[in-house]
Amino acid sequence: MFKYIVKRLLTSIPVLLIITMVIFGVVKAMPGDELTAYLGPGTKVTQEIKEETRAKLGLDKSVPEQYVRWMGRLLSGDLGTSFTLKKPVGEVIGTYVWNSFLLNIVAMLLGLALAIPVGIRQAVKKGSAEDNFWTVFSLLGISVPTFFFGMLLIYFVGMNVSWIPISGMRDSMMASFGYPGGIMQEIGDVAVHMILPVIVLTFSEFATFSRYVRNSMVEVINQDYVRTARAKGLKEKTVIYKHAFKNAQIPLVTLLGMYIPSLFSGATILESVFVWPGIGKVLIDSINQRDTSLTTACLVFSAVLMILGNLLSDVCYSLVDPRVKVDG
Amino acid sequence: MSKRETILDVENLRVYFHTKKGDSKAVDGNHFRMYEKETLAIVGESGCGKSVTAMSILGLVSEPGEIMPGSKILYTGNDYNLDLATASIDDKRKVRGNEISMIFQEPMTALNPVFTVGDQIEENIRIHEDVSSEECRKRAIELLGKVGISRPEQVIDNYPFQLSGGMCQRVMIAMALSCNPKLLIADEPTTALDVTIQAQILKLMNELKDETGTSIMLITHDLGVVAQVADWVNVMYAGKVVESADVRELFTNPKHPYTLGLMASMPSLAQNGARLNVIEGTVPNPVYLPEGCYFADRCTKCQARCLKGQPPVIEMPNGHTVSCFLYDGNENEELDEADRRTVAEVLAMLNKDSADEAFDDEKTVIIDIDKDQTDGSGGDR
Repeated sequence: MFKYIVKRLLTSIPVLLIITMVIFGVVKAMPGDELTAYLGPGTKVTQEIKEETRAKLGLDKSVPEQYVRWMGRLLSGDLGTSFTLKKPVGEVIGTYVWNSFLLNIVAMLLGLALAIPVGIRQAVKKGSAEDNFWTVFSLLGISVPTFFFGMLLIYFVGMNVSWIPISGMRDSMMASFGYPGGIMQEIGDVAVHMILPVIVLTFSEFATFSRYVRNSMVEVINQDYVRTARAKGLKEKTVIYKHAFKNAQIPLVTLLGMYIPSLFSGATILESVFVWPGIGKVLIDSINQRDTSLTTACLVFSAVLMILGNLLSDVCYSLVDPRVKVDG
Repeated sequence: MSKRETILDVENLRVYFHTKKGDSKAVDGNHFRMYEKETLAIVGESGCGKSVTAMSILGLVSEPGEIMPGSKILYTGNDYNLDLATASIDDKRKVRGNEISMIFQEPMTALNPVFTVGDQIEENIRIHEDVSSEECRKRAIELLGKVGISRPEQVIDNYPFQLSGGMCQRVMIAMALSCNPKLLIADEPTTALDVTIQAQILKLMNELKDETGTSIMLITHDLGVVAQVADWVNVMYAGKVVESADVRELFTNPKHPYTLGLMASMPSLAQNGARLNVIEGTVPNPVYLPEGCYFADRCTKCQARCLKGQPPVIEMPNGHTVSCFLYDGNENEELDEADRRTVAEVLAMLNKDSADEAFDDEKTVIIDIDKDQTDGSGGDR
């Protein structure tokens, strides 16, 4: 197992190398550079000083040259400095990643907790009105974009229910001046701020998961071993939840393994809609402000997570399915 | 012969599958008795209702199938007196795997791939008996040894995919026998296995029957298997028992034209190089059963009266019964030219009707195929 993981990590090095090239190239291809964005329009800085600063920052070199310099710093652990937030990029990611994680993990757990029983019911009653209802419901969840649903919620719920905040993660007053009620009040404050984004994310995650659960259950529910389980005299519940679901879990685990790392990379657009201070919002802001070092770092971070996710799902696969063994 | 004690009495068993085009009569008025320590073989070709009969005993017939009202499946082993056709699901569950257990055709797919062999055997014991887990494991190992698995202590922790088909079938048998059932239903237990393994499994079943006193209901389409293990044989055709007799009696003195046809179509080493006999035609579609004898269109001895009504059950010596007009005492004249034409016309019409309707609505055809798979009657895949 250990050998397998090491091998997989080593083989992902070239993949990562190519990804960084693409990311760096794309980011550099954006019109405008850091300096112009930083100085803003109507700046009084002379052309001469601009050129000088560009040369100092290395922005006058060709893109491949810049890439090599950037890569060199990346390898030595230096992700650069975000000029908009005036902080090292590593620190920025380290802070905001947990906000994203909080939002995503709650939504994922809620989504799963709802999707598993619903998906199983759908499979058991395949073709019934109930099954069709949930199918339509989850198709909505998959096809309606999160930002659209998010805005609808803000409009219809947030605007009408005064105690549900429509944006941010904390009450701005208390966030700046401290919570008089202590940690419990802070938790409560974050929780109410989470309501709307969590509803949106849970809806879309429920939709995806319930489709998976339903389809993989439908596949196993008519298998011979399910009939064998019934013939043993097991309760129908045991037959479905133990014998059938254990088999249906196999494709689900693959999906989940891929999903776990993305908990950290954030729900990019949704975070912007709800002004949730997560990695996704940081990424969008950094793009808008041409904070290139932050943009590239966020994208590379997502890419690394994606690769880890693939590895994780392969490892998890072997944990639930005895027929699959990973070895070097 | 000592007194034969009845353990299962099936009367007028009808299992219909409700399809869009009407009821598909998978089993239509089946009746038989099972006695203690005896092996009953149910023989017939694909789709004749053998598997559905077995499934209905355990209540495993699934939607859209239904055991029709009026059917009786009376289980009387171990002082039970339970009509399984009408029993509640809880009562049925107590019997399943405990009093009556079942082994299936495909051992590789009938075992759950994600649990170890031991888990699956122990589970069966633990549902029905209150035993500690060490005791349970010990019994499972013992059972595996009994069904002829060497190194049972290791095999118990194996997953089904690590075992061969024959081993898996032995595991299935061990599982089925784990609670000392009174009745073991074996639904084509050897079909998926190669011939040498078949012989071993049959021998094993015979030995275990003698040892434990379990009655066996053997479902098969292989007359060779029947001759090896059965005491009594029921021949089924299109959901009905057409002939029922002691195994010796049946092989030496078959009466029903269908049975005769089956015997004739067995390959024999003695007739070297001869062309194998076949019974022409196919089983009628169970949704469109004819008014007369279901076998009439394939029968070489078809009479005019065979097309007009259902044949009576004729009792013969030694409990041998056959349901065929040939033996009803009336004169059996060969069909004359006019009769033959009528027969041919009626049959052509029947076939045309069902063929037309089948093509009318492709959906129905698909549903029928689906049904065949889910009810398990597609036994000879």
